[in-house]
This record gives sequence, structure tokens and C-alpha cells, in this order.
Amino acid sequence: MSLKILKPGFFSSLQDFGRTEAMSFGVPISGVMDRNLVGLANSVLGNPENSAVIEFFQQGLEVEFNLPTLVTVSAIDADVFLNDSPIQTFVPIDVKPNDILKIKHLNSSVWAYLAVKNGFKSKSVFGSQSFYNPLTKANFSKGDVLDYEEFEDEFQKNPEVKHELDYNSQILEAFPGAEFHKLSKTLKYQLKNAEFSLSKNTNRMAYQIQERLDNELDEIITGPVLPGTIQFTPQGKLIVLMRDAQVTGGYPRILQLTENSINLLSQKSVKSKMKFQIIEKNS
Amino acid sequence: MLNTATFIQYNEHSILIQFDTEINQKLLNNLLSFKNVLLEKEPKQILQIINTYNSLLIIYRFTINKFYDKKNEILKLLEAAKLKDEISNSVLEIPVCYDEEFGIDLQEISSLKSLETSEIIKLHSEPKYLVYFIGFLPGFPYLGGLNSKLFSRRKSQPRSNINAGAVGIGGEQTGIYPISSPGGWQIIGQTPIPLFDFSKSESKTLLNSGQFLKFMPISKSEFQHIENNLQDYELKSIKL
Repeated sequence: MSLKILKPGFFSSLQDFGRTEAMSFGVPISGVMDRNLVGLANSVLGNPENSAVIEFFQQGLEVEFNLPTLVTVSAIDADVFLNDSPIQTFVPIDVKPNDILKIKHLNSSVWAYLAVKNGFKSKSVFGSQSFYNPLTKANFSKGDVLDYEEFEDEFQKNPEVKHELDYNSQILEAFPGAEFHKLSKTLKYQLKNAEFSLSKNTNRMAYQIQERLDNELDEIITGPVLPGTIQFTPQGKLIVLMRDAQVTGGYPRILQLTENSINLLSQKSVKSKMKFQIIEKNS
Repeated sequence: MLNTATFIQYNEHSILIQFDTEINQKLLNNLLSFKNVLLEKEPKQILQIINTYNSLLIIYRFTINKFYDKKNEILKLLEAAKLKDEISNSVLEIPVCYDEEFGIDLQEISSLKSLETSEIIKLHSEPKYLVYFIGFLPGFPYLGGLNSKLFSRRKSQPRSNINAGAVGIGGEQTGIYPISSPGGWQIIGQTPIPLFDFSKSESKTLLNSGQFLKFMPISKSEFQHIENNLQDYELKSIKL
């Protein structure tokens, strides 16, 4: 036993970059909501970018370490404490047995990460350690323990790693979806020009957009979907599929967010404004 | 058939190929053939390919820089591909108990379609069904072959929980819920056989794309017996 969850907050889980091996069995990809923050956290520690991390939600997290190692907290805006002393985010932090790390809450972002030197260790299912119920448990509970390797060597901090991510942008870049061409001119114009906002209906499976558009499209014959696919329901709702999305769906797929825009959207809170920038066909 | 294919750049590293032709066993066979050819030819480039009724989604390990070049590359591979028989030549028998304890919507379908419940069970357990693909939930099979007399609209109020193993009808489809889940299908029975053993890390789903299955009616006591002796139960597979 090397790390103990003292306060899990809501929706905290172990995540890496997810599993693609089992999509043909209907198993979602899962993985971290914001790959940018996790890539950064792992590079701070000199880990491969997809090493397993603890993902936690706005309510924060409290953990106790039981082996010496290096950790880092990757969060856009959080107050982090090690044994009640404030510490910085995005820097390697030495921890010793019995140290307690506490993140009270995230101030305006949604997901944040705790990474450890060489990644957390756990059983891999279909090539990934990511939590996904029913393959694994859904979330951490109080008292859960998690393994990591002891690390006490000299660590040369990488001066190149800097937090330069722009989370203020309201622009979501998107490919035209498989059914985009079926939309009327009016709908295409609205998608390109209107301002949208995020509803309170958000979770690891999907983020719903508040505004509705008049939908004249029929449902499609069930086809593949991916995280970032924007579905258009018969009621005119826009549903952005996120990391735990099903692998197939029957609603028209009108847009497909770029990887970077999925990361950006994942951190938007309720009522955040956004606009779509549709990628022109390239060659 | 390739002349009915539309290629779409789905995202930075995926290409969707959609075939605008009738959905049937032949199309599925070709999709699975194409999938295997591509996986064989480009194992280092391709991370995963998933198929549905009429689509292949190819997920690459790398970003696609020149979509049209990639599209032409794929087309050449597919044009040269030798189509093989990918559809199974046997039928897996799935035991299903249609007792009213499990078939909680049998009465509703019976009055909707003016069919005796015995007739519903007969019509449902007669045909062999083709597994087109697995989606919606881990292990959930999309089946083709439901008798049109049994097409039934989904429930107006979806249930918040349907048992794992429940066999249902939704619109023109029939299927098995692999795990307990909310759902709007009409439930007509239940199988004691787990479709997906989540406890084993390298487990596979019981059913795969390109396989046939048949529902074999069993009594309540047989259901209980199989459920209590799962490790001894061997699914029967009948050669076509």
C-alpha cells in the first residue's frame, strides 16, 4: 500500500489515455478527460505522457503517501497544500511517508490531476488502467489504496516544461461530422456563427449544449462514434460525446471536435460560452 | 461495392468508410474482410478498426496529414483485397427462459400484435440471428433476422433498470442486455449465460461480429439449474 485516499471528492478515478483494444466488444475508450493537463503532469515528472494518474473533480481530493516519491498536481486553478503548507502546481514535489496532500476545490476548472513518478500501478484491463464500470470500479472511495514505486533518486527538473495552455478560448475546432452535409444551409450557418453555452448536463460520457436547434434530420442507422462526436437528437439537442462515450450511436453526427478541443471543452463549467470553428476540407 | 463507399476524415487520426448499399450478410462479410485485410497490411499504422452495419472506422496511431493520399492508399488495398468468408458456419444456441417472471413485456406485445405469447416465443426462437456488431453497452449484440411480425415499438417510459441477460425487442431489432442498464426495449425473456465476463482481464465477449446465434427456450427450472452450474454449462454450437 503506497497511497491512501482520505477524501475522494466526487467522480475521482484512475485514468491513463484509455483503451482501444476492446472497442469491437462495445467497450468505451475512457481515459483522462483532459489529455493536455495529463501530458504536462507526466512530462514534469519525466514519465511517458500516458502514465496512469488520479483524475479528480471540482470538489478536490485528499490523499496520504506512504512511500517516498515525486508527485505533481496538474490543475488550471487550484489551491494545493502539502501538510497544510501551500505548494505550486506543475512542479515536482518530494513527498515522504505520512505526508498529506490536499486540494480543497478547483476554482473555475472542472478536472485536475495528481501524477506520481513512474505512474500509479494497477491491473490493466484490455490494455488500460482507466476506471470504467463494469470493467473496474467506477470511482475512488474513502480508504482506497493505490500502488506506486518508491523513488528517492536525484531528479533533474526539466526546465522546458511550462504551462502554456490557453483555457480561456471559446473556440472549439471541429471537423464536419459524417452527417454534416445533410444539414440545411440555415443549420450549417447557425453552427458556424451562433454562440452556444454548456448546460449543466455534463459527465464523463457526454456534455450537453444548452441551446437547441430545429432538427429536420432522421435518426441514422447505428454507426461508429468517438469521443468528441457531436450528436444531433430529434429534439434538437446537441450532445458532445466525451471519454466514456459508447462506441456506436444512432443520432446524426454533425461535428467532430479535435482532440485539443475535447480537452478544452472538458474544463468548461456550466453556462460557459463557446463557438465552433469548422475545419475546411484539406488535402 | 467499393464504388458505393464514401470516405470521411472523422478526426485527426481516423477515417470513416461508409457503404451506401443494402445491409445484409454479404455487406457484413465484405466489411469484415476489408477490416482484416487492412489490419494485416498496416499493423503498425492502424490502432483499431470497428465495424457497424455499413461502416468501418479506421483509427490510426498517427495524425493523418494528407487525407486524400491516405484514402487512395486504402482504396488500392481494398481493390486488391481477396474477399474471404468471414461469417461463421455455425450457430450458437443461447438458452432463454421466456417465463413471465422474466418476459415482463410478453403480455404487452401479445396485445399490441394480437399474438399468443406461445406464438411470440415460437417466432422469436425459430430464426438464426446474425451478430452484425457489438455496441451500445459492453457486449451488447446488434442482431439481424427478427421476424417482422415481432417488430414492436420501444416502451414509452424507459425502465431505469433492466436485468443483465434480459432479452428484448426494440423496433425492428432484438438483443440481449449484457449488463444491467436503463433501457426502453420490450423485455420478453432472460438468458442465464453471461455475455461478458468482466472479472477476467483478458476476457472476450461471448458474441462477435459475423457470428450466428439462436435462442433456445428453456423452463424456469432449467434456467435455475444452468445459473447454479454455470461452470459446467457448455453452449451448443450447431454446424450449418
